[in-house]
Amino acid sequence: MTLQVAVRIALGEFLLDVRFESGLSGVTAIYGPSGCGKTTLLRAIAGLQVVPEGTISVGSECWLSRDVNMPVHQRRVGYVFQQPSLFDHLDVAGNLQYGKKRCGSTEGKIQFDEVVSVLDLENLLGRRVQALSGGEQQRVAIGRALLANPRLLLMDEPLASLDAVRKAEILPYLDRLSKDFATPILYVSHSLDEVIRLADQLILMESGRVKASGNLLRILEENQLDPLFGQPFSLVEGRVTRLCTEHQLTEITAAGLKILMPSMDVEDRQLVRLRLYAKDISLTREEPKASSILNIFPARVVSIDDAQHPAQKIVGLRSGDSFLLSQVSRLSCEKLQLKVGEQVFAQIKAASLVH
Amino acid sequence: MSSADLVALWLTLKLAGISTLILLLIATPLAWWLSYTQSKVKVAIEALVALPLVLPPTVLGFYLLLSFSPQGFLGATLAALGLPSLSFSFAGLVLGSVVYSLPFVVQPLHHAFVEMGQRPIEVARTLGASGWDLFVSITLPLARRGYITAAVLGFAHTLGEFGVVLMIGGNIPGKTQVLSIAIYDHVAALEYGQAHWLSGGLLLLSFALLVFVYAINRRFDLVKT
Repeated sequence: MTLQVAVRIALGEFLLDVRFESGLSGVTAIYGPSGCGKTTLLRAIAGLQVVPEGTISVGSECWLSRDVNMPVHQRRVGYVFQQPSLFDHLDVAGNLQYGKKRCGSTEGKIQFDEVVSVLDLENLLGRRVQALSGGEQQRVAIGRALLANPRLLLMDEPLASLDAVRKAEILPYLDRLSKDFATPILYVSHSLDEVIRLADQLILMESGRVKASGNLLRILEENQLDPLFGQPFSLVEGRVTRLCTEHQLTEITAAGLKILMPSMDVEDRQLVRLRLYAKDISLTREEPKASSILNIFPARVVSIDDAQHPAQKIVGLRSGDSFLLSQVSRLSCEKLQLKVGEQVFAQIKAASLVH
Repeated sequence: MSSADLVALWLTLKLAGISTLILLLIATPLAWWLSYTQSKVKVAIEALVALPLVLPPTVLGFYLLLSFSPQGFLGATLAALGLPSLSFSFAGLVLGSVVYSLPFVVQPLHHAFVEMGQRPIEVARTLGASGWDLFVSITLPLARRGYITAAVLGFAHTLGEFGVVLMIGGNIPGKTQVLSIAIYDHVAALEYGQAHWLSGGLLLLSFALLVFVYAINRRFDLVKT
């Protein structure tokens, strides 16, 4: 299923003018700084925002064009707002059932019991919504949207109203959501941590426009130095291949690299993502024979760019099938006579698990 | 209580009941529009709705009476349609009451809709609700305090109506003679005992209705927290 969007919306001084096409499978993140129009775009897709000019289509269905403007209730999008927005006059079960009762067809329907168990709602069903914590309320809101059996689940910064503890509590549920249900998700966020953890595709936005869209890893690689992404880093996707209990290490094989990391709470064969900051990767010309660093890989220099600080350079590397970034001083760059196409060794000092 | 007083009491309750129902029907879309419109005429409409709060009822009654006359806007239209005149009729009283009590019904609903906000409606629409279903399943229960307050205030305010009724309804027993006018007649005739019965009754009824409104609001406040 593809989402095709071309809309122009003027809101006072602000102009949202986007045109993109994106595959819809798994989680597609819409990422950009606050005020770039992410929420307006999501509301336009849902039909909650008046769009004076544009087209929106999902799969073979046209939701908006010159002659069509499908009303919200017929688009069948589940919408999870920043605030849980539960119905005060209904209990938890009543909220969950609200959309389910109105979604018509029973074909391929998401089951009540399944949602309740994935989101751990069993013990909340009879409760009044006012008695729930913020995190619990948001879980109910997600369940309510899913049970309406939506073609597309839209989530507008669902974690932004929660504190760090509650966020950490909900994230695992969001992980499971995309794995356990086939419903494609459009996820608006200005938090890079959430995006690199959850997304498969990325729509990158800045001041009312879409800068890039496509596969997350590819977009990150192509826009590695964009200030939108903060400190330069590379993201690699891999699998846990060995749990080495003797030294309390875990081996992760990612695109041809075998990376050893301190033991973590993961299972063998689990899919994981590693975030490698450029500042944690250093370069040597010769293979270090006696180094305390565990992860050293031969690599080829593919790019050399200026870093934000004039004393530093960001070196792009290909190692195996992975793309890595290393931050080195300009002085070292000159001393080592680094040039594109040359062979070096990358020493990874630290990596963090994001998935 | 004399049988004439009982007739006046019944007529008053009937007038208040029918007016309240009509008011709720009119005020719902009006209050909804006031809550969400960006229109420039909103302020003017708001002021117009609030006018009966500050105008002497006799002024309202006077203009209504003029419009009911065969030369008046309403009177001429009705006559052209072959319908009976509204002057000195129960239907005329209902119309007068509706105008007179409009702000007492519109304002609580307006507040309730503003307090509720658009969000629950938006959520319900994404969950597949629309139209009447949306109104009954979301708007009505979430704005219930507003509806109860509006209904009670509209009813109680119509009960006490005097000036408008006198101007457009006259004082025809069994047809347009309501409680407040019956009381006036008793006092004018120095029948203080009967005036006491009716006045005291009206006082207690109004008090009870207001206690009900405040208790309802308080109870919902407690439930909410």
